[in-house]
Amino acid sequence: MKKILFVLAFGLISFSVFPCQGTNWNSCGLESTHDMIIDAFSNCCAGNFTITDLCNNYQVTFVSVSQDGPNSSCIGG
Amino acid sequence: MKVKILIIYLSFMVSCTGEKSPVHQPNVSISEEQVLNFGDVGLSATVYYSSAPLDSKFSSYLLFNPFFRRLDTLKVQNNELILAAGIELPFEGPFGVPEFNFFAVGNNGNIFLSGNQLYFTLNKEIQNVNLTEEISSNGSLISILGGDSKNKTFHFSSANNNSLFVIIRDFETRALTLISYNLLTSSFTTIPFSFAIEQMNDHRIAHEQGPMMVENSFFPFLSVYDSTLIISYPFFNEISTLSLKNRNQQDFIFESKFFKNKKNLPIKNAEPLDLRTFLETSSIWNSDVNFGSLLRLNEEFYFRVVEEQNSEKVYLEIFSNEFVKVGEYNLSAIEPNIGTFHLPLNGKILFGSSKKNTEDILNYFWVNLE
Repeated sequence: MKKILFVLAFGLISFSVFPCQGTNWNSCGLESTHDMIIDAFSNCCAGNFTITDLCNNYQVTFVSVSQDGPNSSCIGG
Repeated sequence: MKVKILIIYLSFMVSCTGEKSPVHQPNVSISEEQVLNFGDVGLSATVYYSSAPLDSKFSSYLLFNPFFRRLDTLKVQNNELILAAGIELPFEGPFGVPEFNFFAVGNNGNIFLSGNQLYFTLNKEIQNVNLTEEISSNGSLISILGGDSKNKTFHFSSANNNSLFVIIRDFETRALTLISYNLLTSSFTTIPFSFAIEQMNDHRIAHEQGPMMVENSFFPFLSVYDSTLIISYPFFNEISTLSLKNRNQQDFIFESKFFKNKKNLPIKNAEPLDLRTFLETSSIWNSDVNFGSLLRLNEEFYFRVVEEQNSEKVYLEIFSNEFVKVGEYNLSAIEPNIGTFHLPLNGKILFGSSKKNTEDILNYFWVNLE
């Protein structure tokens, strides 16, 4: 699990410190996917994101955000 | 290679025309389980990776290694699967690609697709095309669709072709459009195509909140081989082809003796769905029968992998170049540990194993058609 955790940890770090990195993220479980979607809405610039749930048969969720998130690096840019 | 089990005689052959196919009916064999050390290049066997064939015969691939942000090489050499570390892909600079979901090997370099942007090499620099800025007349977000996000495969450009093909969607109108983009002239062309809109609407599950739209993976798949575009769907058995020579669209329905023709419709009693209900509804929908994208095996056949998560069954459909279904196989009946990840490689199909003993070792099988 170390690399999955690395991906998840990287995701959490990126949400809290950096603007969203990349457009293709991995999650583990519905709760993890839920939290990523909420974070994307608040922290990411407008765009399209794909979340793959590695712990739920690689279930794919598409997220489209048409406006920059209130905490994103793009806001006011 | 030792062959474990094999020979399935085809008892079932159906095409949309109902005519018998002159194409020979292949037999399928599955190898013993093989192992590849993923840890050597820092990959994890629990994650799927986007890949792009390096040649039209699919004898080797570039594989995106997100842990080191490299394009590694996967190939068969002396009957052995080999994975070699590649060069790092820079985030920025003249060859920088900040983000992407899928990529292909083009005439002048690699072509990358993100959620709404293209990156490709022209005049020795990476060019960036933002589809929302280039296509949308009112600034509505444009999404690039057509890839199989679960298997991480998207064959959106044919070898020796300076065009790529994608499906785009307008965020506000939700309209789908099939387009091509010419890399040399930087021009878009709309290709008339009739999508299965009604069925897509039936299988769409969404959570919408202000400027955010969260959806299940109901979007169509697109594959491009030579002058043929192939459109299919994850939720039902229809396959459409569109000839780039005469723009003729053909729709095929392929019945099966093994699996259902379509997923059950999602239960959306309390729309609009809150986020948790959306995720739970999507999870149920995903666990039903799932149709993968169409991929080319060799000059003779296309194939599609169909999965039933509930019963843990994996099936393989084989189609001729004329889109006659020449065979279908219950792979799980031959090899119970066969997984769903798949990649055509060197005339065979590499399947991941459903057993994942350790993260550093990829367990896999070769599925061979003869």
